[in-house]
Amino acid sequence: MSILSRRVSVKAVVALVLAMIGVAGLLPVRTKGQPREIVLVAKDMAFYASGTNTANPEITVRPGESIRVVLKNEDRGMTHDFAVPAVKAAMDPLNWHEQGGVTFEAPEKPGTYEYMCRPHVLMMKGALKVVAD
Amino acid sequence: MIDRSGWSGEGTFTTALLEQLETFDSIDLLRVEDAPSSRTDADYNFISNEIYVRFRREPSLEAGRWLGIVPVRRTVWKPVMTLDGLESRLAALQDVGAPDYADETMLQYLKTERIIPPYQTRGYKIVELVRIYSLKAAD
Repeated sequence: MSILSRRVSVKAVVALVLAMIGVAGLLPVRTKGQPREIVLVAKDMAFYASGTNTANPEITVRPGESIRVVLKNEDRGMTHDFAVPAVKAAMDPLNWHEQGGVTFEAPEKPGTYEYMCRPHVLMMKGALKVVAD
Repeated sequence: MIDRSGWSGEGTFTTALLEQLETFDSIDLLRVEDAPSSRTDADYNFISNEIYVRFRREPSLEAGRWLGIVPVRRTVWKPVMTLDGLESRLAALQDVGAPDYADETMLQYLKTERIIPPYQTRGYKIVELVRIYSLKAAD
């Protein structure tokens, strides 16, 4: 290998390393960003995803994903809330026509967890499914 | 006379409530229906019923002024009972009691009972939600 070609290859390696450092510097250190919003409606003693008819639907999230659950209480005469005991997340109870929210990070470990309305846990509970990509 | 055409007949508290309401002469229309929210799960049976009542009306003379000048008396039909009055009467009954929630047009009762079938240790719950609505004269 000639001296010239060796110099070129050394320069190429240095340039490549510098480029990689530069790109790495631009990458975010796993920023969480805005939480994904899930809108639920409480009515007839059940949770419904907004605009659907399935009672207490399964909610699928990614491990560690930032989630904001917004709950609208449309259950006349009832007080409801939303809680995920596994991550100690819970919102304040809502009266009829009130709306509230709670932000939490999904568990890192894939599996099925439980979400619920604490005053009506018998009838208002569903699965929070953590699924890895 | 109770209109039960839209009701499956489920709900012991609803039945008890209807028996009482039927005796009230201040009610001239009584209708009971299954609410669409009724459902069953492994741990519970949720029964949701809706009762519609219309209060009997009686004429009463009311003073007024024709064209705002000439004093006149006219007949006005007024209900003999209000939902507030019904709430008080039901609250006084031992089998019914006070509602869990009440507003201008609705009374709501939520009853829970645990049922343990014979030879079983783990039962299930019957949750019965009854809402009483007041109908207007035209309904």
